[in-house]
Amino acid sequence: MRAKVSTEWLSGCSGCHVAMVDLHEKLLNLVDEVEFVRIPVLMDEKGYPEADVGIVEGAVRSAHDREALLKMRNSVKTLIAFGTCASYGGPSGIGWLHGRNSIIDKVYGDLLTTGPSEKAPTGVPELEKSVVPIDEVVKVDFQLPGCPPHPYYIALALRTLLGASGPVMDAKPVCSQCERKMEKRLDGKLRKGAVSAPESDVCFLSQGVVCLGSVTLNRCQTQCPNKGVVCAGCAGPSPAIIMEPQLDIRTMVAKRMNLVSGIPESEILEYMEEEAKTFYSYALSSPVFYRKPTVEIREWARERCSGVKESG
Amino acid sequence: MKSIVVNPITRIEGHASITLDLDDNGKVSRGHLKVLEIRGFEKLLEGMELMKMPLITGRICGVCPAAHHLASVTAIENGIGVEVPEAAAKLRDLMYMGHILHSHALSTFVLTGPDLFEGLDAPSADRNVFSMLRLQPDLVRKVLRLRSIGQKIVEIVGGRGVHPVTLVPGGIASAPGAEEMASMAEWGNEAAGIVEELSGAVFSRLGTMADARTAMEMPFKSLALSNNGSVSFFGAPCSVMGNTGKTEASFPAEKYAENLVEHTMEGSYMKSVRLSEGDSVFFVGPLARLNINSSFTTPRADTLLAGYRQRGLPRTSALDCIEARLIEMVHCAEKIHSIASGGVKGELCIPVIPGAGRFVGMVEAPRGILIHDFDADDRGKVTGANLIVATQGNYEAMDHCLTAMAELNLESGNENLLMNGMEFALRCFDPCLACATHTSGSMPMVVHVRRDGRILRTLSRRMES
Repeated sequence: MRAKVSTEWLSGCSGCHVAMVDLHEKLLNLVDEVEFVRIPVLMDEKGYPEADVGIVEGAVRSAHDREALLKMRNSVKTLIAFGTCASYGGPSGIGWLHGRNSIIDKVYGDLLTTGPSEKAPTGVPELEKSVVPIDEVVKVDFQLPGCPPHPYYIALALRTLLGASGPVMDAKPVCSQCERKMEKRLDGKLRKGAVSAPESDVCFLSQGVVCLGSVTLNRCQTQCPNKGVVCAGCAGPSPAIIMEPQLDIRTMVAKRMNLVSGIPESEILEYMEEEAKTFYSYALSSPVFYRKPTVEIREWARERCSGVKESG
Repeated sequence: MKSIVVNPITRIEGHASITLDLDDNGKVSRGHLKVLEIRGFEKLLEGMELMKMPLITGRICGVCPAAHHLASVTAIENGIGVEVPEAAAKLRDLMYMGHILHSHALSTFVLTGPDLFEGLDAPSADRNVFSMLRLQPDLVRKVLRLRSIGQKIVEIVGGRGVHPVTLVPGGIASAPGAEEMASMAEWGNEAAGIVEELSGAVFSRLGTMADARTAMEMPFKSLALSNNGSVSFFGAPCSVMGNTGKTEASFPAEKYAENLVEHTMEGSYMKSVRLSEGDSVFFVGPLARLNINSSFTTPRADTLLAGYRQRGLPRTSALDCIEARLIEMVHCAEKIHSIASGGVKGELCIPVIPGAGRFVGMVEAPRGILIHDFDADDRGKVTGANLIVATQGNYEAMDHCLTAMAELNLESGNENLLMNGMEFALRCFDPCLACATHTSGSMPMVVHVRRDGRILRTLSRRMES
């Protein structure tokens, strides 16, 4: 009998579901192996039928999300946090930095095109106080982070879970598949804000551009650095960073970058703290980042990222 | 008016719902889409690095990330006043044609396909792509192939399928190799063939939907980018056409805020957008693009467009969005072939460093006009952001059409037809609720039927037992 799979999306962008469709021709093979009993993007089924595997995209932002998640947990045997929002909060989790009122006040009262007499909508479900990854609400059996996870890993995860033989999931950093070469340089200059660099075959760190590839889990097949763009950290931190309380993405990047570029560690650290909202954005609302003793993301983001003013 | 009681089923069931108000005679007075979640990206982006906006704004929407990626990069370049090298411009176009092709194929065949091929009153178990796969496997394979071609092009040129990354302010970070270009050139031809092959079946289904076509007539203006009468997906001003077909105004990206105004809608986190002038309602997307523009500059699409426009102009029934998407897909396929077979040469990127200022970009997402507006300080940090997405621009048009479809089907007594008719009205616009209000969500699942604000009945696909 085919294994039954049920999926749901919470506060996210639906990109993880689109990535599932991006299995392309392999999607049809997958349909031979599993039976989708619920998949909101493709089917009209709105209930929560029982299933062997539950796949949840998105973070918990509202009471809706919380209840939908509980229904999913109760209807499936194995629950997968699918994508970075479900695993670590992801971009949805950036709201963790802001009071819910400051988000509402901004969107309905403080924008160029919002009419002067407009008010926040009434009769809408209230946002929860904060945004959390799904394992803060229910027991999660597996995490498959990635923004979105590359279809290769989606198929691999499902097959592994269903007991198929073949390649196994690894937990290497993005650098592991990078074709760029690290070169030791001594007189590097920090290029703030850069997303690409002039030399296409040399490590970004050697060229003075902050890339998070060495501290980020590879669930992407290293597509960004190999196509000329820095790793933004979208699959969340690598296991080494998660498991060691004294390791943090900024300290690790600063150390490595100093070794290959000669840029002082302190300069790199200061830049990454000042731009904490950018560099930590994908796992801001997860304890894997904010529980570290040396990390003060909220303070950095509020005090040093201009424009972050809080109310409520 | 009494407030709506949202019962536990509906709270779980929906990120979005529909309210249907009836008058004293039991007739439809107003249908209304409610979007029930919000992330609030305008707030989330504040304090981030301006140069990294193109990497994070794609995350607003997994269905049209390429549109957000492009809108942000365009915004930064407009603010700096830089023009990208020719090779970069061509590759962006190539990626974007792949994106529109993927999105339109998904909308037309995978999402709306079951409505067309299985019928609006088919049981919900038969109205999805998996049941279509059982019933019409060849059709579904072709559809998935078509969508794959689009998305693979995004992946090759944009670096990733969902959430592409290679567009950087000043150009593009890398170029595909010669072999990849050759494959894409072939795929362009293949895609055009598939669209033309499948179009006949779509047309014959649309031909049987005269009632829906009439019901979904909209007395609204069209808004679309126009490059002197040619369809343009970025880098052109926005034209405004009245519902009689007269061009009334035009404005560039940086003047959007003087021309558009957002309104809060009852019970919904999604705001509507109107023209400031006369507070007028409009629609955006493929229908508006083909009302305003008379050419594509590719031969097969131009022939189809001429025929389409001969059969009436402006076209103001939302049902015609489906035909407009078919024609646009042919254009995308032709352009993919022509860019990929022509190849690109020369510089890919001009280094840029933005100063303090305002950065506004306006592009055509698959479903209509998308605007990104950032303020940044001299350290390159975003101090303010405003985003107007296409589905907002269609909000009142969608309400209008779902009301009309409810009127059409209410008396049939067939609840399945009533509900799916309203959903079909929305699907014609290919709404992207992940985008709209930059929230999450799926298609509405619950319909509240109200009189004097009191809920008479709640319909949903499947009640919890």
